[in-house]
Amino acid sequence: MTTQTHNSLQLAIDGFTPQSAEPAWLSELRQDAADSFAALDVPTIRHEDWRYTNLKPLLALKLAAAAPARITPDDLKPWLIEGADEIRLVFVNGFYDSTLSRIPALPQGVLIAPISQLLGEEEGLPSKLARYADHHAQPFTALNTALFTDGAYIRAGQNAVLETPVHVLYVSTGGQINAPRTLVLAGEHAGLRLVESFVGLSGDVRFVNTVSEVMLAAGANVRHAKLLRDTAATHIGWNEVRQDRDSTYTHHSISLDAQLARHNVNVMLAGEGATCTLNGLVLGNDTQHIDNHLIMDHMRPRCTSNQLYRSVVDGKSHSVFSGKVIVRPGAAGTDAKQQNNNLLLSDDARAETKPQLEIYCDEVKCAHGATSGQLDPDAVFFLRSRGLDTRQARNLLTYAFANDVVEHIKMDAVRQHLEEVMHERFHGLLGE
Amino acid sequence: MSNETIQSLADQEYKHGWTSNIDADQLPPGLNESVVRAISAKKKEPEWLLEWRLKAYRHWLTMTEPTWQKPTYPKIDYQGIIYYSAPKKKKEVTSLDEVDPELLETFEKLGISLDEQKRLTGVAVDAVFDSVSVKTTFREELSKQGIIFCSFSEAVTDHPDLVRKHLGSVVPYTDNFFATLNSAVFSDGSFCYIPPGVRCPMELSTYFRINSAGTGQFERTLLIADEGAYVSYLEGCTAPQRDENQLHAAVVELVALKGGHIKYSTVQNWYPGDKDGKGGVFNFVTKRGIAHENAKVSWTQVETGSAITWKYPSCILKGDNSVGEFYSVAVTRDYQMADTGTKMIHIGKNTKSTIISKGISGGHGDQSYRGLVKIMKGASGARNYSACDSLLLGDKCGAHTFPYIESHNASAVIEHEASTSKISDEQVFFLRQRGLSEEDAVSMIVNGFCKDVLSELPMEFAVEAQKLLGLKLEGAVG
Repeated sequence: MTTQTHNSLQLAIDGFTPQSAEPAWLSELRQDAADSFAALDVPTIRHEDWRYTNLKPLLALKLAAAAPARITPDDLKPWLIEGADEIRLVFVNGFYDSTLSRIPALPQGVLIAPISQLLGEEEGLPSKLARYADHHAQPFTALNTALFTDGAYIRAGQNAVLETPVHVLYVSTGGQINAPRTLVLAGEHAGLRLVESFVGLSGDVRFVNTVSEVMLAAGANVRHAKLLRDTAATHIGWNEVRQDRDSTYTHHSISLDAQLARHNVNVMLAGEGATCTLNGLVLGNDTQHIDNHLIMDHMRPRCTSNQLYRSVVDGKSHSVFSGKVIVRPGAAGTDAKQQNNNLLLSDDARAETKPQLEIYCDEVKCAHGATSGQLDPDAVFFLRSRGLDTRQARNLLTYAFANDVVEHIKMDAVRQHLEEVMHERFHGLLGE
Repeated sequence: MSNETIQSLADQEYKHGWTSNIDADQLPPGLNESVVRAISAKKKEPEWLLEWRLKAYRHWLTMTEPTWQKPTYPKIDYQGIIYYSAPKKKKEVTSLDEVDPELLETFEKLGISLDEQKRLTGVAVDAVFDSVSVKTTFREELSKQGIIFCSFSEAVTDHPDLVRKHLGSVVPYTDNFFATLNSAVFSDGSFCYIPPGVRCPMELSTYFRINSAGTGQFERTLLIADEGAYVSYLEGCTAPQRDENQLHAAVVELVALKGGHIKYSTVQNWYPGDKDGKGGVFNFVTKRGIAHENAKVSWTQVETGSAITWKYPSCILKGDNSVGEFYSVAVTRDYQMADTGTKMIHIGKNTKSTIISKGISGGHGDQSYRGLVKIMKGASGARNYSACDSLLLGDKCGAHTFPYIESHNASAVIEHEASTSKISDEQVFFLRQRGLSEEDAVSMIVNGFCKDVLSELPMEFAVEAQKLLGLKLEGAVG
């Protein structure tokens, strides 16, 4: 504790002042989180959950406090997803930009707005915000809770279904510490689709610390994609999900670029018969370090969960996967699957994987698998015999490996967009 | 499966529960530097070994007990343990007739009568009773081939160069809390050396026993297979029933030099505590083998006893083309806990490793597979296959899988798979309608579940292991 009081993160908390006056409950929440952060150690590689991800470089960064900035529509263009931008919320350095955002007329029962505009108005917000993101246990959740400036609030009331995806863009422009926050509430039998894009506009090293909370009431259905495309960022994100009876949650975490990224996805299957799918793709190159950390908690009977995470690591990049499936006593009829595949394209690339099962109930079907290796030389040979050169053959196979994750995305616009991005990555294949 | 069958499984008595009253020459409880010196002096050890023990002891003082493991246990009072206890020897024994009759009876009860073994099976037994080796057979036959198989203390006296060269070369005295403690206070153990090109003509075996009340057992085993040599080594354990927990912190080091092959098999059936989880042995063991070029180290274990089993028999695949294997069956029932698995460290090129782990958990049993597969940067062409399956017998037990897979070489191929399930009613029903009793049906399913591992055991042990499994699961599931 004493060692961290002078680090950049603690300084950020000490120097924080909200943009405008906040309600008392929020000030109290922030103070509580700040106290927690001061009491918690920033994890080192001696912490089991962080053994492959070293945060020392982060603590050494000189980071400015988050400040609003102006960006032009052209700056935003490369990150837009054609067909998924009808509803769009844009936050620059964690501050809402109303000129770039678009919120059209919404179906009844649906509310989409920046959290900052709802603080005094939205009923239930004090009891929902920070309800499942536990800042007493996690230093980075505490940090975000103490520092968050703004973020997207998306609510669909009972039976309200919004077919159009909501695109939330969190844009970072400078060497700052940005703390955006997302809160998604899906009421009974409600349906929502959400894309969170974390993008960067400059090469200044920065820290993006995000927390997203998603709550699904009985029978709700939420599809959620998270795209990370910020080459200069150290990105630490917590995604807390709580599912009630018969709800369905699908999460796609696509890490295209980051200096260092750590995605935590914690799912509580808290109602009978809930279904959860977590998919992830890591495309790593240079010295990127991407760490995916999942906890799937089967608390109630007859829930189904499925995890598929794949990483392609090139250059000196490093991918980490840690996935834990917990089956609580009494969670009979659980069906849990977990799969992690790693493709190493270079001798300096590294992949660590830690798939885990923790089972306290006998009436279950649980399985996990993990593989790590290079492209199958026989497959490369086959493609060469069909007239492709080695590079094309390798690109095609790598694309196919990665696309196994992307093809599961049911939001068509997002999937097509990602396919294009991957075509570009594994160039030489376009038009074939 | 029905509640009655589970109940009858849980009520199984521990069949090896008895204590024999042999006067033990022992040190008072407690641990300090003078205890370490006293152990060394009692064993008439050379100066270098005492120095090594003291270095370990001083290092141990700086260490803290690990807490990352899944099993929890009451705090161990290291000052309450007797660190040296030897059966009193009236005189040197040269034949079985001169051995204390009560001792022989003890072995008889265990079903490992020395002369029976000697005559019928051709297995040389170096029986360790508490801490001092009392009887060694077949020594002469083995020595004709240049094989050294003796107690650790004899090896220190007779072959100091070999011991000094290899002691701590695989498990250094700084390795971990319990291995370091062992390095400081180890009492005795087995030593084996197979000269170059020799294939050991018989299975070597040692039966460890924990006897004197309150005695911790700190065994140390060192096996060396010189270039091109082969040895198969068996280790079997049963312990008498007792209420207070007993700590067993052994160290096993295997050295397979170029082209050497060591096969190490264990059947462990120490006292698991009563059905309320009271008592039982803490089996905290460090086992590791190093395989040089073209060498092979193979671990097979059947873990059915102990209140807590906590060990990771590991292979360091240092040489090119070396091979590591780990086959394990672990059974936990009542309140038994197991945290076991392996580590495969691939350093050399074209190294291969196989991990097959089968866990069976019933009652309030809780077990974890924890394993590491690490492919170092230079281990081109490395290959690993791991399969860890768990079978749950009841709704109060737990089965967990914590594999760590670290790949730092693109040409390495690693596969890991794990599954957890229970014996399905359909399977039992099918066998029942073929005329098998529920008990036999379950037994058949469990035997099938463990087959891949049991088939790796040498003949003598495969029989004992199957008996043990049957015993553990009798009347229940199978």
